[in-house]
Amino acid sequence: MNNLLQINPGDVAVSLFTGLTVLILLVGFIMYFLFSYRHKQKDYKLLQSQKEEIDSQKILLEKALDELKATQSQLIYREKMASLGDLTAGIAHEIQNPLNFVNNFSDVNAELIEELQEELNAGDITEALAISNDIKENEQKINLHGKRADAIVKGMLQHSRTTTGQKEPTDINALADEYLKLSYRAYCTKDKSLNATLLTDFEEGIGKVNLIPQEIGRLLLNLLNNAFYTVIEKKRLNGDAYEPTVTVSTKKVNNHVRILIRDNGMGVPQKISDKLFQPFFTTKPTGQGTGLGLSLGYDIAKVHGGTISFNTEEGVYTEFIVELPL
Amino acid sequence: MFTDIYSIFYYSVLIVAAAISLLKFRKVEKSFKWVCLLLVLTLISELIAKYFSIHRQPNGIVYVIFTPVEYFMYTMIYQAFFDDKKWTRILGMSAAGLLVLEVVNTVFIQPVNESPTNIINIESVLLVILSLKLFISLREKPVYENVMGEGVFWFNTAVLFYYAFDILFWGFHNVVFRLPNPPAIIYSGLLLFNGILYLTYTAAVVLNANAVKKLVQAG
Repeated sequence: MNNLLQINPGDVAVSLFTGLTVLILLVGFIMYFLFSYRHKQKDYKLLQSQKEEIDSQKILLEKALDELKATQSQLIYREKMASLGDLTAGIAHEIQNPLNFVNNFSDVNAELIEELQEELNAGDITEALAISNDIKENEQKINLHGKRADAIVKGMLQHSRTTTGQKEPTDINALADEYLKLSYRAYCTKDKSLNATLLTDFEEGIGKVNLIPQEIGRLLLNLLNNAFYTVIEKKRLNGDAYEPTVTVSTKKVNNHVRILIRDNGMGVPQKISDKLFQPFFTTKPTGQGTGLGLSLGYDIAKVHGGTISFNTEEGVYTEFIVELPL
Repeated sequence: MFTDIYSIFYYSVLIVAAAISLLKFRKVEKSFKWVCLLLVLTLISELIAKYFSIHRQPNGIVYVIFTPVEYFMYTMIYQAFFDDKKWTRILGMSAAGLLVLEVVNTVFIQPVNESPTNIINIESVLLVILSLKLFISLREKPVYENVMGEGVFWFNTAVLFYYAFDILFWGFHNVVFRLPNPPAIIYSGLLLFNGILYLTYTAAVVLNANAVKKLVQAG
């Protein structure tokens, strides 16, 4: 203990004071830590329970989203099938023509073969050769019309098939013309009295446009079906004084191709014009429309980086403008 | 050999701490495995130092070697506690830095047969900082239901108290050291203080082993 007396009392006092200060500070810090820890723990527990709730809600939302996606796929499929149904009459008519040719020419060939056999029995080789040439020509025509029917069936299958989403260079004029005819024939079958004027104005030199033909075909078909539906309605109301007209035109505008489908039907009333692209919105009677045609058309145009818009005057006309990038 | 009560207390604590560390080594978390190793290593180094002093030889070299090794062990403990890439880098750099300073200090300032008090002071400052940082981390993510029942709390509290006072002690030591006949009570106090530190570490190891056991039993 005596050794401690060697130390300067001032040094001892400073050391003791510093030590005591540090001790108080450390104890204070630990007390503060324990107090704030408990306080934070309450917030943390609340946060954890909220997080768990959010996680469970997230799982439920993800499940709902999956179900929604599945339902959407089903709806798209149904709409596709509905448009295929609309096309059926037109397609049947398209196939009927080449089938008539095939049937007629095969009948003619059967008669010609009989004549050929007679001439061969009579020993008239010159006449037999002439008949065989006729048979050959008819055979070529049968083959030609058979291929035409084959192409129509392939087109129909392509329409119903699930799209691969692959874009391919497509002749937009040919595509628009094909769907105009198919849609018109389909409506002609439904309403025999329909005698609409079809006008086309396809700009030459647009070239091939990179798009998914089945998808754009479906979009055009929906627009054309609406056009024919409205002119039929107007004809029913106005009678023979009214001349239904549907116009399809294409035009190259800067880096876009513009497809315009115009009808002189009922037009779109102002009050519903902002609902036109909403899913399930339809003015058609129950069972005649899914209300998805324009909504899906809008999505198709968007997927292609394009736009769809319309101009209308109630009771006078409606024109839909589809713009697709070149 | 161990004549005074303080030495008996200190070495007894170290032997018990090392024995418990070896027993509990497999049952504790990664961070506490390093604590166990630190306790065993401390016993070994203190026994070697005692051996030197019994044979009237300077034992400073033991502390010259042990100080950076001890700090490295602490960096491994705190790295396991923080579990953060940024802090792993900081801890690694601080350990390397301390080693460089140790070499510089030994070559130019405090020779090998002297206790490296300069480095011990730097190490103490670093450990106080690490301890405060761990308290902040624990507060930010208060996962423990009863933090006072956790080994990590007691280990970190011990580090904070011990090394904060260690800075003061070695500062005071500089005054005392110059005296012709330094008072032994200062060193006895240090032995007592060290003993309490290692006793707290041992308690922390036991608490952690029990917590792990409960966790395993809970499945």
